[in-house]
Amino acid sequence: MGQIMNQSENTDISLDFLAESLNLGLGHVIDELSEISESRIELHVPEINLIPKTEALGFTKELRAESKAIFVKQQFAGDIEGEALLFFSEDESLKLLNGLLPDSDATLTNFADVEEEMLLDITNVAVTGVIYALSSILELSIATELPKCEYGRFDEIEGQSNLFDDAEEMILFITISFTLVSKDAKAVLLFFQHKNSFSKLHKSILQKLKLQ
Amino acid sequence: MNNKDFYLQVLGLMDVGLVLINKNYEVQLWNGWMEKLSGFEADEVIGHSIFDVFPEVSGSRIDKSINKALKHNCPSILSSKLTRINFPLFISSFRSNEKKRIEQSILIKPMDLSDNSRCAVISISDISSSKLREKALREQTTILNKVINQLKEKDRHFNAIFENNQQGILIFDGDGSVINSNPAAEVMLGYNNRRLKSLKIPALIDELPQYLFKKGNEDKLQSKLPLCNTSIEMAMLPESGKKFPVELNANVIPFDNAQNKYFVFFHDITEKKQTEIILYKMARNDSLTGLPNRSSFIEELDKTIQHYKRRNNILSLFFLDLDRFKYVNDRFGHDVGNHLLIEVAKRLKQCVRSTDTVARLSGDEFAILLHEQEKIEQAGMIAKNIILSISKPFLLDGAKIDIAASIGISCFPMDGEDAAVLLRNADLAMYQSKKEGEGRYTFYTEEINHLLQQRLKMETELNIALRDGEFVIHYQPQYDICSGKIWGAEALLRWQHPQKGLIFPNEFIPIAEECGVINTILDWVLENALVDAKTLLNNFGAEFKISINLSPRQFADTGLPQKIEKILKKENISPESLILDITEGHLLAEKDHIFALLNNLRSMGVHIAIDDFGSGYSSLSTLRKLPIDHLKIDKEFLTTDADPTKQKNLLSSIINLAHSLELTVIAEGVENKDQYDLLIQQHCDITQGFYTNQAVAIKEFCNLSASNNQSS
Amino acid sequence: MKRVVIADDSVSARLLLKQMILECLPDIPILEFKSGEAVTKNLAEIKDCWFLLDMNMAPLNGLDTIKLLLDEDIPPHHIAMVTANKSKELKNKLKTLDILCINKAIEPHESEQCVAKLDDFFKLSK
Repeated sequence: MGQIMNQSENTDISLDFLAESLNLGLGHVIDELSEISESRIELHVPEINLIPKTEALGFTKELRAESKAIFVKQQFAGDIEGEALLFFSEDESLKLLNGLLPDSDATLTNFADVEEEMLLDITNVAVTGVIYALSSILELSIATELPKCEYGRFDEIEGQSNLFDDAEEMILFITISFTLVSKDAKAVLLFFQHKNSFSKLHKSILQKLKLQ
Repeated sequence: MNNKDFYLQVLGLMDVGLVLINKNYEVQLWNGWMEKLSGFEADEVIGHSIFDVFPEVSGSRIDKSINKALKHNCPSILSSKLTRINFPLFISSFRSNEKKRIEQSILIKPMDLSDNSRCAVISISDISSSKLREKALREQTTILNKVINQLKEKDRHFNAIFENNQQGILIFDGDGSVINSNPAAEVMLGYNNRRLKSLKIPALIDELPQYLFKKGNEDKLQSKLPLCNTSIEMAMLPESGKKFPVELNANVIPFDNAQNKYFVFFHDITEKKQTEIILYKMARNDSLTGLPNRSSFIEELDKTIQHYKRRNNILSLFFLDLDRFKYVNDRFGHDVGNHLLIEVAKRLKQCVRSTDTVARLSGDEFAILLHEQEKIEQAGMIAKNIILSISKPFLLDGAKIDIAASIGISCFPMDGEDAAVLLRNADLAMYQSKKEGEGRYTFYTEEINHLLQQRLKMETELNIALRDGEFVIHYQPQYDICSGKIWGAEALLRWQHPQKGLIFPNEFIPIAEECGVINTILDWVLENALVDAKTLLNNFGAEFKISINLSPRQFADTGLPQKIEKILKKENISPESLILDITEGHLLAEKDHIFALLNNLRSMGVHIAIDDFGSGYSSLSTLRKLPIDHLKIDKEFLTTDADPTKQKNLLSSIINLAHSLELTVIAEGVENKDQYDLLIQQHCDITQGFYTNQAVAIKEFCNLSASNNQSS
Repeated sequence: MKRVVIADDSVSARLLLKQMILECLPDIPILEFKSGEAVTKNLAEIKDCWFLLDMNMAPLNGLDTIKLLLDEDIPPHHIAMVTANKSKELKNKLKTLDILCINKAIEPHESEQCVAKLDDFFKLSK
């Protein structure tokens, strides 16, 4: 397998590798989530794509159509630096959180502090799981920061955060769906690496697969 | 008091539980809050496994999260709702003596130490009441990060951290009395610990005056302190009297309910400030040419003006713009373009005295400030010199580059009394130079101002025209040469000015383009012409065609096809009835983008006509590839001063070619019978022009009989 | 010579698995498939192989593929599942079918365990 592959094959295999790592990482995450939610929640990663920044921004436009959005941001640094962003619309997150609450608790109708805390908790479990899998498999050292939550009209949030300013041209775009026992809730997880990180990641992957 | 005790004191005052655990799960740090709520003193737990202290936590989510921090370097947030087992921490209820287990929000973060071992920092906050909960999330992360950063600061050796810390720390209470300090603060301020404790904050921090520490001013004090994980710059007042700048951040320690205490962390930023001064200098100069930039030029101009006002001096201001710079950039690339700017800057400096100021405002715009002049004429001499100097070829990277400079000149005090006005007037004069051709200079005059005023007036009038509906569309009939019947109409925009009468587009469109109302006007034309089209189709039958000119401005509008589709639907007009005219020259520029747009429109069913064909330089072979349905011959081909045979042949070949490409040929500007007959002879399809009928309002148009052709 | 059949929809998962197999049996020929269906379609030619199957793939996931292989009288000790899925449910099902389950590795020490398990699998089923 020492032959030289072309760029797109290389990218494909990197993506395939990332998808596989994600599955491995999420194996742990799923265990943990089902434990903390008493099997009320399952997690699927149906899609992983590498898309141009402009397209990712286009996606956020769709979120603008939604009334309010919740957006959890988690930074990681080390051999690879970047940010993970998890988007929920307010409706989706309420669906998710209601599904998680023990039946005895009253139904949540608006997003408040408890819910923020829960969302941070779940995001952290998901993101650290993925980062952990990636760093262990590739033997990279990556430290994850604690997540932060922002909530409000999407434009306001986005206006403040200069979204993707530090990102590379291509963004790792992962759609995660949370399946609850009763309802579906969907969230989108975006991983973006700071400039030059993707090539580094890419190189580590090819080394791991002994393709380079 | 050493730093370690000091830290413990700070940690003890915090309204958050803090526990540090080493890789063997042994407790290393246990703050006052933990002591209070767990019932265990620090001495009892330090060195013991956390699971010996709290056996029920073993195997829980907390256990797993500690493990994740220690083994996987992953942080955790354990939300109360999703954590079945929390720490057994209790508060006594006010009403009874009953102890109540608190609801908890728990953060666990890994922390690497310099000896490569890792520990976990746990912070716990009480969120039993919703108010506390809100506070916890906002503050806990901040405090935890701060504590970790403090612990990691300077030397990563765990014990060493407590002994020496670069940051100065002061703890004080609400009335400003210093309660304690660390050695770094003592060194920086030049007071010993005992002396500091006898002082009040206003004597130590310049920005925190006495009144902030009066009773009832707590809010004001808190608003002055950077409490939210931010830091601000303040000045410290040391014993030596030599003020020094620090970066400072602060925390409130809620203590015994009402009696808040504060601590501030600060470090000396004298050196950083000096770097800032250098950066400031860098910020004032253009990095490419080294010349002052716009903001520093305006500053200098302002200063000079203030100075000259008192002394009745005059000065001249040049606004200089390079001609053809864009071409150089496009043709030779940006590196050569940049190189050229550097060389231009050099030549400009050679043309003026060393006391004069040359600045680069932006792109290829420069400004020159000529100080203390005796006569205005001198400025003209210098401008001439500059133009001559810039017009000499530049030899750059093997290329010979010819450019020119256009200059506008304004003078103080005659042409304005402040920098903004002078710069604007010089800019206007430069604009005038450009209009007259390249390599010229113009002094600002009232006349230029007058032209500007006129333009401004027209801008206002254009807006009024839009508001009051002074725009009208006239329709020029197009006749089918074979049948003599009306085939269609070209929509032509007119401005029915209340005083000046009918104004043609060439008089107002350029100004509309400059002042940004052009798009509104174009949209107006599109919408109204299509409304009229409905009437015309009713009067002249379904085959009737309405032609509307498409401006290059509209090419940039990506929503154009949707816009047109929407109007067509609304008016219930078939797309085949609409022809969009595009001038040949515009069609050839930016080909890819325009082709895509036109193909998009054609796929809807709309027809495209190439307008003024023959005025541009499209080769006949490209004609084949253009996404068009009709061809409008430029009226130049009908002018009679050309050689009649040549003219006939040329027309014949254009028409034949168009027909072989299955394009309908439309001749415009047909003014007399000779031209008309020639077109019949050459089998042209459609004609329009003064000879057949001039453009008229919609009402009149409808009165034209369908076959009202003068020639038939 | 006996061969190894691996089925996983991820190219990189197959690459990693191949590396591990070759650590146990350096010269063994390895046949790769992308799905369970691809395996069953070619079953006639590969009956006498070792089968290492992923759980999550389509069409035909690992578990369903195993059932079909058993129906075709492939001995259970020639089949193992290599998966990231750690659910008890799956483990129990495999146990009742007498099929070995090998967890995919995340950390370096786990990949050593993984190789050791593979080695046992090949030795015991010879």
